[in-house]
Amino acid sequence: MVVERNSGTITCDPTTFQPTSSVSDVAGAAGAKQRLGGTSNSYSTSNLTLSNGQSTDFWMIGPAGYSATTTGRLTIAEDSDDLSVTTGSDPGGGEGDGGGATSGDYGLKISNSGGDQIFGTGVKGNTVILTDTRPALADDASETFTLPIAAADNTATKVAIVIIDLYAGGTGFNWPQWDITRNGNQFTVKNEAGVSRPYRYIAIRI
Amino acid sequence: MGYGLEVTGANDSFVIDSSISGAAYMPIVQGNTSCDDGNVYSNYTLGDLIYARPASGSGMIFTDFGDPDNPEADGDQHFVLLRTSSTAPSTSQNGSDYGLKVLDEVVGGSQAVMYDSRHTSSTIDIKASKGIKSLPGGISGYDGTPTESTENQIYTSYNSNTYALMNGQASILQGYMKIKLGYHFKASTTIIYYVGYYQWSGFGNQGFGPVANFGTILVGDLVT
Repeated sequence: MVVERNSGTITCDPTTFQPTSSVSDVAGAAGAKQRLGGTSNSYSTSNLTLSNGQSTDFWMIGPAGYSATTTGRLTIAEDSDDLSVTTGSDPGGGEGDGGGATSGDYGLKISNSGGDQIFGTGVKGNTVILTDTRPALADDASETFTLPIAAADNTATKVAIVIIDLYAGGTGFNWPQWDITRNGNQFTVKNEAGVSRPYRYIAIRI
Repeated sequence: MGYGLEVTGANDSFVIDSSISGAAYMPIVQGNTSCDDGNVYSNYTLGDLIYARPASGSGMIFTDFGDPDNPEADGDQHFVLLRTSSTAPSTSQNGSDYGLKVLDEVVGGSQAVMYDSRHTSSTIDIKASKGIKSLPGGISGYDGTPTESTENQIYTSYNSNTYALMNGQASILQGYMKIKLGYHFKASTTIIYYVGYYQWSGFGNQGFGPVANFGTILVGDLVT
């Protein structure tokens, strides 16, 4: 918390006049409070009675979230003024829910000679994390593979698992029918084609 | 991670993490190249990723992986090839000797290259992904029109730089059975539809039906 005080004090005319100082919330949960200026009293929502030459310390809190505003008001006699605190927009999620990530002004950026970004923050590239060519897998059989990533990242939007069907022979009523299921940091490939088929899988982190 | 390089973008998006054993970024090793219908993708090596678009800007495209070492384009296409950094051939694409190089962990006394900015001067920036069996496919009838339903929409903002991942797609002809898994860059729109169907004809009968995608689908914009 940063507190900055100026040296302003009220001037009462006549000097015997004692105005009331009060605080209120105008927008959001500002939690406006005050105390007699220059003291170490606790901040309070209670009214103060000021005398000529005294001042008021005003206290409020800002918004807890992004893109929000809280406004507090200090009123002395019939005059008042408002103080607003506004937070910036969410820069995007980091680990967990929101915050801490880059918004484009910083991070890693690699550009080509034309100035176009070709790698880094903001570009979704292709990184293979596991791949193999597999021998023929019997009909209705399955194989399970372990990805070198955390289980939480094993989703379709984060890891693309591409199956290349390599069946090259025979005639008849069969066509590639592959199924993939995910569990933890593993995925299972199942052949549902009706005949044995070789294949290649490519797991791409995107 | 104990040491290395880990970069995470907004919304927890992945950029690079050198602690992932065996991971390798896939730079573009062959820029935009034409491949006519029925021809093999030039310079393809098994394990490469093929991103393609219709040569005319719109239409349907598929890939025949019947010969896995020599996949063929079904439909005139433009394509790019991506290859893992550990086997990418060039370290002079950016015209300099400097940049950023990230190595994998030490395994057996050696380290594989996870990323090297000198490998490429372009990239595919992924714009859309679709999970396995999330697109139903379908066709209106034998030799009919692939189903252009909302459920088959992959991406709604394609342009002349948008490419789709062909690995995992198919163009198979087995006797009297035909299977097609690919993309329809719909003309006069900006929509890419998934195309997945089978059809057969024999012994005086014929049939057809949908085939859902059996691999995650990716669509991205080429940045050059």
